Amino acid sequence: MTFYELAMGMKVTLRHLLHYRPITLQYPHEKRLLPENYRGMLALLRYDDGTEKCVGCDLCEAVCPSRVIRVISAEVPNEPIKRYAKEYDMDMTRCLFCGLCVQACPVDALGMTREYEWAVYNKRNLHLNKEQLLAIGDRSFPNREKRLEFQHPNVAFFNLPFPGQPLKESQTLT
Amino acid sequence: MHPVLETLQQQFPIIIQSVNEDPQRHELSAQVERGGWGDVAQFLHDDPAMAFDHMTDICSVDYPDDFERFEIIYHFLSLPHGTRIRLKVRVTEDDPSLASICHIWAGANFLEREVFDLMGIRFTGHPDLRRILMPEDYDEGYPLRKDFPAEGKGWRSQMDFIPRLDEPVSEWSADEIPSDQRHQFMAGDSPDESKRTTEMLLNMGPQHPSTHGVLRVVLELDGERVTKAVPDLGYLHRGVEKLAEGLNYMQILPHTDRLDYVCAMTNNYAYVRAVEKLVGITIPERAEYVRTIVAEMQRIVGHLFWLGTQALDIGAMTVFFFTFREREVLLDMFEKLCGARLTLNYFRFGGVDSDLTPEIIASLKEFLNTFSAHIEEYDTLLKENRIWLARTKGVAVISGEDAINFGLTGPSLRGSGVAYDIRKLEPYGMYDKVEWEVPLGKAGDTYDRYWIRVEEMRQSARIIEQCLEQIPEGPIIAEDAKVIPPPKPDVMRDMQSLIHHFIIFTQGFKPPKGETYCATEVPKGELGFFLISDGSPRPYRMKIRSPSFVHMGAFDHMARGYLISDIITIFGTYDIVMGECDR
Repeated sequence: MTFYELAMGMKVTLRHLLHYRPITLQYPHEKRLLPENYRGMLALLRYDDGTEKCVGCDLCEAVCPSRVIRVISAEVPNEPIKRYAKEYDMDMTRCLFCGLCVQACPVDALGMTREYEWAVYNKRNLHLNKEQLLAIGDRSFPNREKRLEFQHPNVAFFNLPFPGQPLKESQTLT
Repeated sequence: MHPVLETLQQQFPIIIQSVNEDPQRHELSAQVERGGWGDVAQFLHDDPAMAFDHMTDICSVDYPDDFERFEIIYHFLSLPHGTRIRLKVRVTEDDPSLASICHIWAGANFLEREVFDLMGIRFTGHPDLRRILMPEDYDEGYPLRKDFPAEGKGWRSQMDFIPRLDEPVSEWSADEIPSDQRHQFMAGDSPDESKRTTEMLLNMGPQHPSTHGVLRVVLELDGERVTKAVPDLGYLHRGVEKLAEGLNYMQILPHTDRLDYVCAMTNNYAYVRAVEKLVGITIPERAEYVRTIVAEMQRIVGHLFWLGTQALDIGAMTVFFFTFREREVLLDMFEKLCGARLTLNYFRFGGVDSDLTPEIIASLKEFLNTFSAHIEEYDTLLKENRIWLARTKGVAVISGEDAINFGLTGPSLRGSGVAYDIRKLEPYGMYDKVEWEVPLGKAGDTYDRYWIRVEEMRQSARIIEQCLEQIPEGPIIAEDAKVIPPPKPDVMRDMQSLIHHFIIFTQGFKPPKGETYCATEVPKGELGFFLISDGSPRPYRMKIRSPSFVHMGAFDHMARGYLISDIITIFGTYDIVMGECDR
C-alpha cells in the first residue's frame, strides 16, 4: 500500500525528470522579453529636435495617488504663450507604477519604459530630477516623435499603444 | 415597502426611527435608536421571517458636526431569504457606547474590536475589547475620526521608539523589561499541586514563514494541544481606509491592488463594482465578458497559489513547483494584458483598460486545454497521499452553523456545506450567462476546502471557456464624459474631450450623495466595499470588508484542541493574506 502511493507520487516526479523542460531563467545571465506595455521605470520624453514634450500642466502631479511627482512650471523665455516644466522631480521610492500619470498626460510627455533593474544602495538615488528622467527617456525611446507641427495638424502621434492601435516602429525595438 | 422593513417597523415602532429602501440600488436600511439596539439585533437573528444569520460587516462613520457624532453601520445577510439589510445606530461623543452583539453573531467580535480601535466606540458586554489593528498601547487617539490627521501624528523619524541614526546604540540591559512584566506569557501558578501546574504560552510569529505575512498568534498550550489561540493582527496595517478619504475615486484604484496582493484583479473588480453601483454606470457587454474572464483567471491564480503554499507548509514541496509553473503562465498573460504581474490596476470605471488581443486569447485557450491535465497531476500527488490526508482530514473542522455565525465566506464556508456564493446569489458580470456549479463540502475540514478549491479551478476554467466562445465584439469601456476619461486620441483632437479629461484627472468625478455596499466573490470569500459619498470627489468613508480579517475571528474557535503542528494547516485553510487582513 505504502509502496503503491510512493510509486504514484514518484511517477509524476520521474515523468518530469524525463521530459525536462526548464521554465526558470538564470536571471542575471538570461532576461525575459518584456511586453510592449510593460509598466516599468518612468521617463520624460522629447521631440526629435531635442525639445522637451512636457508643457508643465501639472496633471500628472494632480492625479498621482502617492504624490510622487513635483512639477514647477514656467514660461518659455521669449515665447510668452508656451510653458515648460522648470523643475520636474519624481520620488521613485513611493511610486506605485499604476500608470495614471502616463494616462493623464495630455501631450504624452511621460512614458513607462521596460527598465526594472533599479535597485540602489542609497534611497536618495531614487529621487530623480528632470535631467535624469529625460536621460531614461532618451535611452528607452531612441526613435523620438516628430514635432506636432510637422504632422497632420489634427493628429498627434503617441509613444504608448492604445487599445486597437497598431504599434509604431519605435515601440517594436527592444 | 419591503416586507422586512414593514415587519421591523411594526415590531419596534419607536426604536426604529426611520426606514429606507433605495429604489436604484435595491438596498434596505433602517435607523435604530441606540437604547433598543440589542433587542432589534436579537429579533433580526432569531425571527424566522428575518433570519439574518450572517454578519457581514460593521462600519463606523464620524460626523463631527452632528449632535450624535458617530454612526455605527451594521450589514447583515439572510442566507435563507437572500436579503441584505443595513442598520444604523447613532451614538454621541460624550458617551460613545453601544450594546455588543458578540453573543448573537460570534463574527462580530473582531469587527467590534476594529470599530473600537479605529473610532473609539465602546461596546458594552464585549468579552475582550482591546485594540486590534493599532498597537495595544497606542494612545494618540482614534485614527478614523475626522479630527485625526490623515498623515498621522508626528513624523515616523521623530517618534521616540525608533532609534535615530545619529544616536549611539544603546546597551541592552536586563532591566529593560521590568520584572512585573517578565512573566506575562506564563499563566499563573495553579493552586493544586498536580504535576501539570502551568500552561505554556507560545508566541508564534510575526516573523514565521508559514503565517503568510506578518501575523502573530499567542498559543496557550497544554502539552502539545492548543487550548487557546489569540491572533494579534495589525503588523501590516497601512490605514487604507483613512488614505482613501483623502484620494479621489480613481486614485484609490491602485491602492486596492495592494489589499490582497495575490489576487489584485478581483480586488479591482470589487472596488470598481462598488463605485459603479454608487454612480450608476452600465458597462458594455464585451467589457463584462473581459472582466469575468480575467476575474476567473485570477481565481485560478489565487487557488494555485493557495494549493502550492498550503502543500509546502504541510511538507509536500513538489506541488508548489507545479502550481507555480501554471501560475506563471497566467501571470505572463496578465503582463501582456496590462503591463504588470501582481499590482495590475487593470479595471477602470465603466470597463477595462485594454482589450484582450487575439494573441492572449490564443494562449489562454492553449492554457485551458492543458490545465485539466495539470489539475490531475496535483491530484495524483495529493488526493490519496497518506501524509496529506492525515494532516488535512479532520483538521480545522467547523460546522455549518458555526461557520455562518462567525461570518465565514468563500471556500471556508462552502467547505461546511453552506451554498453561499455571491456569483450565484447576486449574479454580476457574466456569471448568469454561463453554466457552472458551486462545489460544496460535507465535513467542513481542511481536506474539503482543498477539494473545493481544486474543483473551483475546474469550474473557473469552464467559465472562461464559455466566455471565450460567447464574447462579442464591441467597446471595452462605457462612454460617460462626466465619469470616465475620454479616449486619449480624442483628448488630442477636440476641446470638449480635453476639458473633460482635465476635470476628471484634476478634481475627479462627483458621484451623487448616497451610500452603497457591494459584495464580490473573490478567491478568499466575500470582499465588500461600503462607500459613503457626500457629493464630493472623495469618498466620505470607505469600508473594506475583507474576508481574511473576518476569517481570523474564527481562528480561536477552530484551533482549540489541535496540536501545534496543525496550527500551520489552520492558518492556511482560510487562504489568509495579511495585506487584506490588516489593510
